[in-house]
Order: sequence, then C-alpha cells, then structure tokens
Amino acid sequence: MDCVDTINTENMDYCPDQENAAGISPVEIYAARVSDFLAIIEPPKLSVATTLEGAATIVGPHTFTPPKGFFKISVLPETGIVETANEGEKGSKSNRNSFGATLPGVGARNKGFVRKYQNVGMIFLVTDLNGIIHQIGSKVSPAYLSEATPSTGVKGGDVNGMPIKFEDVQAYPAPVYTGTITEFTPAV
Amino acid sequence: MFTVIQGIYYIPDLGKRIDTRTELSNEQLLELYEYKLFPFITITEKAVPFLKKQKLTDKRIASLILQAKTVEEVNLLLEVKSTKAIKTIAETKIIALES
Repeated sequence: MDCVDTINTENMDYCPDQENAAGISPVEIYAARVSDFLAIIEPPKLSVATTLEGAATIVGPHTFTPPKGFFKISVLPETGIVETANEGEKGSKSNRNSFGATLPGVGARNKGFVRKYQNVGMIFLVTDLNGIIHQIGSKVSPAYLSEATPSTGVKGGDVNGMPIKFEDVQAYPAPVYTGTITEFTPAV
Repeated sequence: MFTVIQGIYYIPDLGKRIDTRTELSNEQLLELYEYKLFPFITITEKAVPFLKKQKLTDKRIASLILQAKTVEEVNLLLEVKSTKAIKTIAETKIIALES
C-alpha cells in the first residue's frame, strides 16, 4: 500500500513574546443542531492537507437553510473550557473533545434548553481568549450532552447555575473554525 | 448591484456582525464581496460601473476573479478591468469553473 504524506515537515517553534491567554469567552459561544445545517464542512483529509495548521482547520463556512442558523449562548465568566482527551490503543487512537461551562441560574429557560437538546446532535463554536474558534461536534460525530447538573447553591458565595458539558469523539482534536458564522434569523 | 443571501452573519476575522436584511452601503457590500470567507454575495451587471469607479488595483480584481463562483461573474469582473495579466488569470479560472 502506498502511504501518502502531503504535509510538509515544519519546525514547531514559538515566540516567547506571543500572547497565550487561558480560558474561553463567556459570550462568544455558538450552537446549532446538526439537523439544521445545509452543509457542514469537514477538516481536510490528512492525505490532502499540506500544513499542520491546515490539517486542523475548517475554513468553512457551514451553511444553513434560512432562517436556521447558530444561536448564541452566554455562560458565567471563567467557567468555560474546551478540552481534548486523546484516548484508545496505539494504532486506533481517537479524541474525545468537550465543551463545558456553567449557564447562569437554574431558571426555566436553562431547564428548557437541557430538555430540548439533551438527546440532540449538536455543533458548538467556542471562542477562546486568544480569538481562536474551536469546533466541538461534526457531521459524522455530533456533540451530545454528557453532563447537566443544575444547582441553586447552598449559601451566599456559592454558584447558582447549571454546569453543562457536550462531548464528541473524532479522529482529530477539536478543529479550529475560521469561516463566517451564520446566525439564525428570528421570526418578526 | 450586489446580491446577498439574507441573514445575520458574524465574521470573526473582520470582527463584524452583519445583518443583510437591513440596507448596507455599497462600500460595505464591496468589503463583504472582497472577503474570501464570505461566499454569500455575488454581483450583477449593475455593479460593473460602481466597481469601475472604485479604481480597484489589478491585485484586488485578480483576487475577486479567483474567488468567483460562476463564469458569468468572471466575465463581469473582466468588464471592470482587463489587463493582460487579469485576462490570463480569468482564462485559467474559467477553465477551472467549466471542468
């Protein structure tokens, strides 16, 4: 079998004066049901990508049939995280990507959100504090709710909110999305 | 002049949230048209005089031709400006679109 390697070899060097902040934006989070998309763009195949960056980037854009589109989610500041856990045996590795955050409060809208989306395949676009947009979920492996633990808190100083977590499993770590983000069009 | 698919878009690179259901100026539409990651816009024949007035450089016209989605769009851009280099790029693009 002929193995194809299209990715050029490159150095992995970094500049110490580059900004590299930890955390995600509590306001720049987009979500949509996989069933709402017209077209979902995948990262390039490893046999097509020519750079390391290109191998983990979705140029996009994902498209919808109007009025469908991404809806925005705001979360409590400094509660959100995008993580990837590389797992599996050598030769058949996969990546469990997740987005977790705490929705403010335990009101009816948050509970309705969990009720509506707890069994639904989703795609999330989550912006980190460096402005990089990470995608959780894909056409073939959507992100599903894996955790929702609403709590009023016990006493002053506790968090009153709803921690949620959505996870997918992909062949690759959560890719970077650089395309235009189409938002849903609200009914007038 | 410009035809845009109606909707609300967030363009991360430009840091702009654009609602194309509202009226946008021709300058705003030109900015969107030139942005290669915004494929929801195209031009009609009426755009040609406006684009001519903008005195776009060869490089900008060439970029627009390279990201054109139809042969008709390439031909309209050639009406805006068609130096020898631009014609060569347009010919290559038309071959790619027709293949």
